[in-house]
Amino acid sequence: MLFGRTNKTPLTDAQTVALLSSTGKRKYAGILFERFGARVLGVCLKYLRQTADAEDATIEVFEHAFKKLPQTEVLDFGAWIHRIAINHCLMKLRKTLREIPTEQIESQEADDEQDVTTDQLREKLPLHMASLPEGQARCIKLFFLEEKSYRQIADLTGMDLKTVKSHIQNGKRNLAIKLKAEPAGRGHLNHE
Amino acid sequence: MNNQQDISPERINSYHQGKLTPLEEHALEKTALVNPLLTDALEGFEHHDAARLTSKLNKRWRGSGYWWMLVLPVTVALAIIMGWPASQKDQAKSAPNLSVDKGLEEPTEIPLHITETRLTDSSVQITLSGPERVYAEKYLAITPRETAPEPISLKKPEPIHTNTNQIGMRGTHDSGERIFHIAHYRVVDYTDRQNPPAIDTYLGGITADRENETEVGTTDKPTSEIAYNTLLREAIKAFAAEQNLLCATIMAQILKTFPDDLNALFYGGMAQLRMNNHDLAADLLAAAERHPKQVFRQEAAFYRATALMAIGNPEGKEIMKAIEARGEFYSARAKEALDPN
Repeated sequence: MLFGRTNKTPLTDAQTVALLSSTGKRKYAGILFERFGARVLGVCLKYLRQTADAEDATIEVFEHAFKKLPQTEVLDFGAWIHRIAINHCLMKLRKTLREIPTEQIESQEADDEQDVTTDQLREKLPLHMASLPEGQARCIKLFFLEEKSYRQIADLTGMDLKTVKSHIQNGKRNLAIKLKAEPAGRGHLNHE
Repeated sequence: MNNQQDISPERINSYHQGKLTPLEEHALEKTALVNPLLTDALEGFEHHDAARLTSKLNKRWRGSGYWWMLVLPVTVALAIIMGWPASQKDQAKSAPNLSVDKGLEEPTEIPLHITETRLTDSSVQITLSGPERVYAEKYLAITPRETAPEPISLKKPEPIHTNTNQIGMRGTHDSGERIFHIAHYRVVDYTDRQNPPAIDTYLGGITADRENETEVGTTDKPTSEIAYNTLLREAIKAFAAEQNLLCATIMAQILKTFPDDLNALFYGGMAQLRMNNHDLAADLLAAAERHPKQVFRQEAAFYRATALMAIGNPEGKEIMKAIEARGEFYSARAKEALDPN
């Protein structure tokens, strides 16, 4: 059976990708599709909204990715296919000049941010909290230090969920920028 | 990165239905915060049944004819013929201890890291292609009210001009700078830029268009060439259609090459404002406001103040008060913003 054993595979994503690249065996494509298919579908739904369009796009994204894989060095398959999915959706939208559902769209995280883990943020948080706008600081504190969920933070602060999410994402980005700007030795997190 | 945490479609459904405990919710949100793929997926499934759709998709994938059974062996064979490193094959045979430190592929598509917009990275990669083209009408003239136009609506784009007879020339701008309109929005045209683009892929002329596109095969060069104004037209048309992410993305690309591009600063900032990225919007609009070309000064100030007020920054109110006091075009709206009741 093609997909039956995929959940039990001990292979990491990177190993699966490398095996697929080098052997072309279909079971490795199946493993990756099973692991990432749902999330890529979610991404396509976010951009395209219509379920039929999103399903088509998801299949196309994987087809495209697997075609490119043998010639591509991929360290993080999730990040790589995410980027392919976004670009594929934008291309489809551009072709149809359809309106992007703005209320569901927020900007993507910066590279700066991705270098910083949430644990590192939590560690450095007290140093930089004062520099954040009040709303961001409050949400960041509740999320990272008190480990509250978005829903709990919304209840505690009276803000709506979208605002909470926006404050946390923006606050995290601001903190990441500050941490990256710290002198080496104090906070160059990518090399710690 | 591996997927150790359970982020199955069922769990995503449970999250949206409020069936997880607060601790479980927090754990998923924390994971999503450093995993943009999951963040987007969670948003995408907010109003859909993730489990049902995923199951449907899996069935379709299984029944899709295994296209890659044909494609992959061919590409692998080609890769081997063309010198695909033998070590790759050896590694595969000696799995599972595979090398994974091969390095992430240099992106060849549009990076969407919008907060990078003002980095001085001179390499810009653009894959805007396809048959679509924006046919925005262009008026090579300056609005008589270019410093105080009708406000750009945050809800629905409003035309600055509905009657082209109102458009007249005014000699108040730098030589070489023209104001024209794309989809009724003012645009500063840099056709006669004194300093030509650092990379020659931006052809700079309105007449230069997609026929100038040239595919480039290496990842350290742009993947296609496109005229600056064509790119700008796409972005502003997207803004007019409220395709804010698309607009912001293209403007981010322009800003990488032209960090002082007034159009990109202003419309990029406005697009960010519409997406509630208030910090970034305020930064971009501040740069537009300070720009030596004063075309968007008043609008940039007003909307920057709007962005700052939205995040509770007291500077926002101060700017609004100053706008109200100056009795300019946006004074009435500033007053309204300060006292909505």
